Amino acid sequence: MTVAIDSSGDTTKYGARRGGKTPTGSDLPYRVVLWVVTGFFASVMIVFAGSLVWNSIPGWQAAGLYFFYGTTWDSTIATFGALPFILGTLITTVLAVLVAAPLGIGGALAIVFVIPRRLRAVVSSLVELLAVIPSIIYGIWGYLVLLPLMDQKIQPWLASKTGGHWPFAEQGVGKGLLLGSVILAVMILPTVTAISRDVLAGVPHDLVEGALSLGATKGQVLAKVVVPAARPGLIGAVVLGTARALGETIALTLVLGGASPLHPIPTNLFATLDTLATSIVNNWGDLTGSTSVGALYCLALTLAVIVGTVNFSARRIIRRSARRLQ
Amino acid sequence: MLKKSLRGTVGAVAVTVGLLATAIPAGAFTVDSIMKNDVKLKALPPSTLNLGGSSFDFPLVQASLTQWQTNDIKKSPFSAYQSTKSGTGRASAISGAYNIGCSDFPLNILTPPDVGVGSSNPKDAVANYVQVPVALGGVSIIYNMGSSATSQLKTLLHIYPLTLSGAVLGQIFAGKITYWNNSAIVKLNPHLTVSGSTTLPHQKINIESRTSGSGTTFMFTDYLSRVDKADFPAATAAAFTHAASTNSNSAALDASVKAVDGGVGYVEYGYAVANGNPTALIVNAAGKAVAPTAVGLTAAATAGLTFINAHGGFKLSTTSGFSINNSSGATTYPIAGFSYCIVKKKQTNQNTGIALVKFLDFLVHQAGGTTTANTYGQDLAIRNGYAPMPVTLQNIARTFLKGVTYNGKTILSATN
Repeated sequence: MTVAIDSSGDTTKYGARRGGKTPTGSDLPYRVVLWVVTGFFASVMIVFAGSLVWNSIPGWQAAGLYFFYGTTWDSTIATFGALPFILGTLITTVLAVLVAAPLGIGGALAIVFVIPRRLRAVVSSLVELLAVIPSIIYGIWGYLVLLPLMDQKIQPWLASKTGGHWPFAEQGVGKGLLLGSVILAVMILPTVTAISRDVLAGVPHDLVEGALSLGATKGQVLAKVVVPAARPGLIGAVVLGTARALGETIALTLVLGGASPLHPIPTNLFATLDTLATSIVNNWGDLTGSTSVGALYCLALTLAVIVGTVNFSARRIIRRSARRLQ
Repeated sequence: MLKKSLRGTVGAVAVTVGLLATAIPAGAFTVDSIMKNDVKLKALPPSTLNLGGSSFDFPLVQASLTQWQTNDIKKSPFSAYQSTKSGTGRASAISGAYNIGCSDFPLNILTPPDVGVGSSNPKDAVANYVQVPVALGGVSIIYNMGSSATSQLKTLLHIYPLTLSGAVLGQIFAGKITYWNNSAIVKLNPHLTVSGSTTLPHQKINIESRTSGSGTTFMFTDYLSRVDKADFPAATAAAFTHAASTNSNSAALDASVKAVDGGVGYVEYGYAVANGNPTALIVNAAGKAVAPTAVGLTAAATAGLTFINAHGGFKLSTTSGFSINNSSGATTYPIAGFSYCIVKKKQTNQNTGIALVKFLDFLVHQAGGTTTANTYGQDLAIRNGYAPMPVTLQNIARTFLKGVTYNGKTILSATN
């Protein structure tokens, strides 16, 4: 390879501009910074996931597959059956989302399309304020305000309606599946509403105007044009709410009452139960001995896998929804 | 001439020093003089010390810790007491996570054992630990009649507290008696009637249990196994199967009973006092209904220890060697017991060992007649819902404490 040395003094060949300042660097610093940041985040994720898996190994060794079908959790006899917790997590989340999703999306539709413009800003800010309230406050409110109400008025009334049969029981203790799901629903409702409101506001206005000009009523426009157009975003809003519900810990610890020894898996709405997150808190005293700590890590790993699966499948659903819109 | 007198002086000094040196360990210092020295630490441990475990003795141990630290220790060597359950106390004392692990029953009482063959620490042994009785407390039965309780009932309960017997308690906690106006409960409470009919409501009894591993559960089920053998064959730390919900420590159980209509639970008396829970009177072996106050607890300890001494002496290897449940006597509260602090016998750091031993010595001591100015651990018992341990047990505790060693030498001495 020969290098030609140009002695003519013309520096434009090497990137200088005539009459301007010579650029003194290349892309390298930016690339280094970006790679460092990426590497940092990647390594944090790897270390976190890795330590979660590594520390749970003694737990898996002690519990084995019994973890997924066993119903007794007793660290003093090294029995680690987490089926009640897994089912508890799923049931509370499903119930909460079943209530919060239609209410949230409906509320968002109301905010964007129904409420007078002057009130829109006020209501939007209120919803956003509710969405950022820490969950411990919902938990304390649920424990101090809703729990006595549930125990003394609501549960007896509900029991009388079905004569003590499913989905209620003869008597409740206030704490339990019903209270937990209600509080979860209240907690994720502002999140779902706020995000749905942003999504619905982003629906192109010509779609709406076009439908109206064809003679559709407002209701038909909302149902047949706006919601389908916003479907990917609405699904995303519901998924964010679901993720918050799945990971909810402290509020549920106060109001779920812990797994009942006789019926660890909840069979009616008045049952007390544990979720994966609350079982970690309630077994916090077991933070000694590699087996008990390992078992707690197993609970954490299971929860992480559940949340990851929900997020992953939601993303695929959103992508498919968006594709169908094109 | 000088040399001879010098030799003499040196010899005399040597003999005096030698005599004094033998006199010190031979007990020339009294117990109280060690005690006066025990509120001072000459040097701090290298790192903060941890203690925790049983929630049964949490009020007393934490109050004693606070008192000890205000007496002369400028910087606290201990972090706050972690109130969880006895199982954590034992496991953490063994693993070293806590320097002092507190439990309401000693090591290796239940199966699987804590140390030794069949446990997760097969190479370890009970002989590697020193277990010191530190508290005399009572399990109080707290209840909540619920919102359906009439104001008449509430007034009557102020004058005639709810009375329960061991047999009835057993049936309640076995899930056989399910309503507060069950005939057995009504029969025990004839004063809770207005115009011939009982004011006890038709309210479902909701049992609040502890999660498994609780020492309070052990103490309570040990009592139930003596009065209701059919439903409770042996003492156990497992959760009650008919419980409406489970709670991770005594404070949570107390809060649950207050929150739930018809709740009934079992916590150390200090919690009931601190939180204002209505507490039941329990009918003792002599047929008298007694409250878990210090009088009842002291009577239980005195009668219980007398019985134990007549049947093999106080020992921590079997339940019958330390249980004082259902003791005889008209003023005895029937559900009472001791709580224990567990430390490693051979301490590996001198300052750590000294701090642990001095605090435990402070905890188990009671001010004698000559030192009323000082407040030691057992002096704080009554105001926190316990009773001071009998002096004989305090001395036994002091003897056990002398078993804690550093480099083969007893740490508890007047010079440390």
